[in-house]
Amino acid sequence: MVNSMDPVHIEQTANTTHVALEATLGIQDAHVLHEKLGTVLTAAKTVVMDGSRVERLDAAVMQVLASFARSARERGLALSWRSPSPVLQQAVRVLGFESILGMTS
Amino acid sequence: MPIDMRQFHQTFFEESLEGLANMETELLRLEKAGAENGQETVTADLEILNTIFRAAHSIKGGSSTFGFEDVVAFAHVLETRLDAIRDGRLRPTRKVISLLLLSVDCLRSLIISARTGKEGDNSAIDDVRRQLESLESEQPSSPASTVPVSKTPQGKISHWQIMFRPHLHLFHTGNDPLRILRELNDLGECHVQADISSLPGWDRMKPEECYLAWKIELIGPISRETVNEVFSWVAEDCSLEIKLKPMQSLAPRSIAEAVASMDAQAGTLRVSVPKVDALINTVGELVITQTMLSLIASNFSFDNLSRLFSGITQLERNTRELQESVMSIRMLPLSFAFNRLLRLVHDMSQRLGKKVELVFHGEQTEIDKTVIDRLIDPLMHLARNSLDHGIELPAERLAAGKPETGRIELKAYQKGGNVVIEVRDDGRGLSHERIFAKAVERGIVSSSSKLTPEEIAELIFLPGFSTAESVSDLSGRGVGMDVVRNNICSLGGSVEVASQAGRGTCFTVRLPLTLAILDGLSIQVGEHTYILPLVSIVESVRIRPEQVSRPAGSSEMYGLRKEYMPFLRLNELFHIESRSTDLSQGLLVIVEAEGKKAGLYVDDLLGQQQVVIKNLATHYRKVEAISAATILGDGTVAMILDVPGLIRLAHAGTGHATPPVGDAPASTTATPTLN
Repeated sequence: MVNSMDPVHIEQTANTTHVALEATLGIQDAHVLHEKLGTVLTAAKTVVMDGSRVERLDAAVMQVLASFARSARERGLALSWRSPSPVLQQAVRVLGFESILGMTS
Repeated sequence: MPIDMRQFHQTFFEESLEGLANMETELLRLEKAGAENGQETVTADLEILNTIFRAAHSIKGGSSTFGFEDVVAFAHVLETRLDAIRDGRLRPTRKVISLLLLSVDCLRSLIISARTGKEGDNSAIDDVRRQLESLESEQPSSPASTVPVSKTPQGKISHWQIMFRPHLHLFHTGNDPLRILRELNDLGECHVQADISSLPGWDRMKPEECYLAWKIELIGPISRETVNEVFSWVAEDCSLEIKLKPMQSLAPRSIAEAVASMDAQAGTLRVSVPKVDALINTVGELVITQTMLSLIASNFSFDNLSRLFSGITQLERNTRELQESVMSIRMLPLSFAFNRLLRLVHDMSQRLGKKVELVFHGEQTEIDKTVIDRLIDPLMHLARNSLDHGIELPAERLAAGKPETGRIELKAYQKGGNVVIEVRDDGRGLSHERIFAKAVERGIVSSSSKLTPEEIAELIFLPGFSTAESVSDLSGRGVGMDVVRNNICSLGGSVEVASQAGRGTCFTVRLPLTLAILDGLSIQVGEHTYILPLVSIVESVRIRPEQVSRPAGSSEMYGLRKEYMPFLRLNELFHIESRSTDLSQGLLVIVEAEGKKAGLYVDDLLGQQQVVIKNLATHYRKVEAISAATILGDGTVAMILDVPGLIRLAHAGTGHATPPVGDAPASTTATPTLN
């Protein structure tokens, strides 16, 4: 299943996998997001999540991100966030996901 | 070598408490500014806000350096809110200011806990912190909606515990828990704990199913209906549990009182740099003078006599200046005491539903630190009294043709060696009838006594007197005006009351500038010199031997203008041989303390002088009837007489009870006559 726009853009540099989240993310993107992030989990060692563009998202998307972060931790990946947008930050705070996502401001 | 940080603690505590006092004063100013505009929301003066912010900030910084984590945590929350006010994100409504004032209490309590190691009222402090944290969300940022919100009286603060566990299919219903939690967040202070324990491993999870759950603590003026409403769309698609957690009511007084009881008297003194500079200057000059004098002494010839004299004159001047500078180090402006009243009046007037303006005059008048420390309680009691009994309710005031807002005025000024403090209100004044009736009821005076209004007013200072119709929790705390008078008398001062029906009451407190120096009258008994504190002397008269009588089974009494008082021969008391056995050769000094009088028989009055008080107990031991000692100009030691002690001694000797107040002479001049 392919959406008109991928929910994430994945870019591989030397040692790091850059994952940029799209601006608008919802339950309809959860499945693809899950799939795409699954590839990152198996391939990467160091993951940098870029949430700077996020303007809208919902709990389903956040659930995928939470699961991804937990799995990444379990597999010993280094996961970090780069400039999460205010919307993303607020969602993390409101859902109480700070520690789950490893995003403490 | 590791630095022992404890050496800095004391300074930190003092600075913090001082900072908090400033913060309190500024917050009250802020609120007053709002009240004057008649607005609920206060237009904040940036300078005031900055001062308040700086105080919170430096407390946070200091406590973090010294590792007082509780203080850091609280100060941080407070600072964040203050910052929001400064940036205009949070509007300083009266409610916000009241909460900030409570926060000052909390911080004070935390700091004192850190200092004394005693635990404060932690649950009350936590409550205040939670309220602080919920502040921002209670105030929507759009100005249009802010106005009604700030004017709505806030309901009771509730603490909700919510367990929200969506069913797996929740996402399919089109509902988004994020939206629900956002709504809750907008209601009040929200602490969310996500539970992802049901979330399966990455490969087994189905992204369209909801495995999440939340435990939410929601605090604010929120009703159950409001909470239910948020979940109304998902009620069928989740398991939901909403419980009200019992929350302790805020007890601001309990914090303030805990602070008061824990705040032991600080043993240190903070001195402004100019005062220390002045001291160093004077010492410098003293050293120059001393060098000059040694030079003259080493090559002394009579030609140098005039230079020697001028050197000695200079030495005298230096010594006097040194004494003044040293004394000034102990002096603090009365504003230290006055500012403590701001908060009291603020809290009390709100509780009593009265409108009161507190005005200070001359609060920069300086007085000895010991006096200030011990003056705070009596002043608070006087202000409390004025507010509780003096100032009428707004409606009553309007009906009496007075402005709705009452006025309590504190005025301080220096008069001679005394500082005078007037506590004046424009309330209803003392009710002489009620005071008299009460005094009769209490058996203090007989119903047939004819008392002047002044004498009736004096009755309120007698032990056990209280006319409050209902013993309120404010004034009627078992502490009466007698305690106020005793406290002030113990400082060597006096308190008087004047009142005009319907116009108000004025308490006048007179205090010595310092406790280290005493205005005394030196008296001669035999070969010895004693000092009598000037404030306790009523008058001195030549003795008429025929007025001395000895009622059966009693000590000697002296009759002066129809009043009889114990007659105490100091020479006998101190086992000294009097210069003359002829009573008429001596003098009688009438002294008064604690409302009782006694006549002291002395050989002579030598003169009035200021003496430096030296503690006798530390150098020798405590002696009955002697309060301290001093060193006279010729180097001899003179004892300072303990007048209350002497009077107790005299009255015990005579078995004579206090004469009824009604028989007191109408006029006794307070000027001692010297010969």
